[in-house]
Amino acid sequence: MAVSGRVIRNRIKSVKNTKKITKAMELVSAAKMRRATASAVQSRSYAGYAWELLLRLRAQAPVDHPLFAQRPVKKLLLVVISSNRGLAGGFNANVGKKLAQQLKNLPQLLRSRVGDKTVESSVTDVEIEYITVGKRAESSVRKQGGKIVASFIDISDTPKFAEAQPLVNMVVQSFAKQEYDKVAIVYTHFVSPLLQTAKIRQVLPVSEVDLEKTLGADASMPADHKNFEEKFLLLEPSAEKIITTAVTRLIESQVFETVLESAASEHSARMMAMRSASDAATDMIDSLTLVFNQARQASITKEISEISAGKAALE
Amino acid sequence: MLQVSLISPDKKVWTGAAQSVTVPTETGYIQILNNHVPLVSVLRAGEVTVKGEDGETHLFAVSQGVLEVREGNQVVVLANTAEPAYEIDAQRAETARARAQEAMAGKISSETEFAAVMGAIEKEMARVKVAIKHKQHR
Repeated sequence: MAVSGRVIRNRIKSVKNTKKITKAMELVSAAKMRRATASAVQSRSYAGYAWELLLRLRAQAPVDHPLFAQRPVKKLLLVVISSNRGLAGGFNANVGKKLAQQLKNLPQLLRSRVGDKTVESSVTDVEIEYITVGKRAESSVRKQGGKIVASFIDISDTPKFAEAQPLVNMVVQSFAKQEYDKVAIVYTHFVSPLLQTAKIRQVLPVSEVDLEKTLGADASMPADHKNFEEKFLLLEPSAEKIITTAVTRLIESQVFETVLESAASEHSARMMAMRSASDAATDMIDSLTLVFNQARQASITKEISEISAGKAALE
Repeated sequence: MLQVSLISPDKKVWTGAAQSVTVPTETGYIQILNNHVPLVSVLRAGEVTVKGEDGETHLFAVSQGVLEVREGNQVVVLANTAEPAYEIDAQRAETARARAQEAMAGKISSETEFAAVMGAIEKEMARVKVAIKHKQHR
């Protein structure tokens, strides 16, 4: 007998235990994913309304606001969103890969788009700083030698707006103070439970293209948003104050949306990783059981032949 | 009848038909009735009162946001936080307010921090008020 039956039996038992754990993690992630996608859809309607409001205001008066200011990019802020925990397949690695790939293509990374206008900037003497969300993002940026100005690790599995607010405030205020010339987010876009892709989006200065891409062609978005007529509209206390509030709301919801999408992607990536781990465990149990049965059979055969050999010797 | 939607980034808090809506804005509380002119205004922390179709009043505590009255009697309230009165635990709101005021008493280094703390206090005051009102109504 090549392998002892007991060793194999122990091995099967431990693989079974692992399978129980991965199965449980799969179910938990599935439930969390459902909740995260549901809240992503809910928050889209908020973003849709804020967007529509801004377009309506723009039909009234030209919007000239610090958050729309386009400057050649000398200082760039990158917000990198990943998860706090691993065991989520390629989720964290993909975010890191996207970031590395973007850093290689600096001219494109430094392009600042507003409307149809793009401003190119020189690649030399550019400073890039990072805000990271999640422990994994923090460590991967650190490994690449990036300068981290803030790291948010206490955003929960099902993010609430209140948890994302400090991040949002920091982004908006530092851009308004002209500490940065462009702010972009690296996050994971939730396409379907089977497919998530790492993406980069410009957040500030406010870019229509990126906003639309982030928020998606949703039913809550105004269909033909380019043609808002100028109608009578009462603005209290002042147009300026209202535009500031509306733009801030819009940026807030865009950033919050990326946080939610990342959370949904994380959970579905983990769900898929755990599902394939469970499947692998099932296969392993099957083949181990086969080996175990063969070993058992072999030992029985051996015993019988020993007995009959012993009997033959006596005769 | 007004079509009211009260929306926070987390969810649609309340939608439905209403007779009137009272909203706290930067320039004071305003009440919106049928056929109000289109209006956009900035919210401040306070209580939103919605008088529903059936005359029942719904109370909500909101913090900063935007109020939009559109043509065709549509009212949209976008608020950073919006909680229905029955969800607010008066005791917890009170402790949160106390905490905010404590932070105020401590050192405040910058103007923006001051504004943030003031905002927090205002928000918590509004929550406490709404929670107490809700209790009395019951």
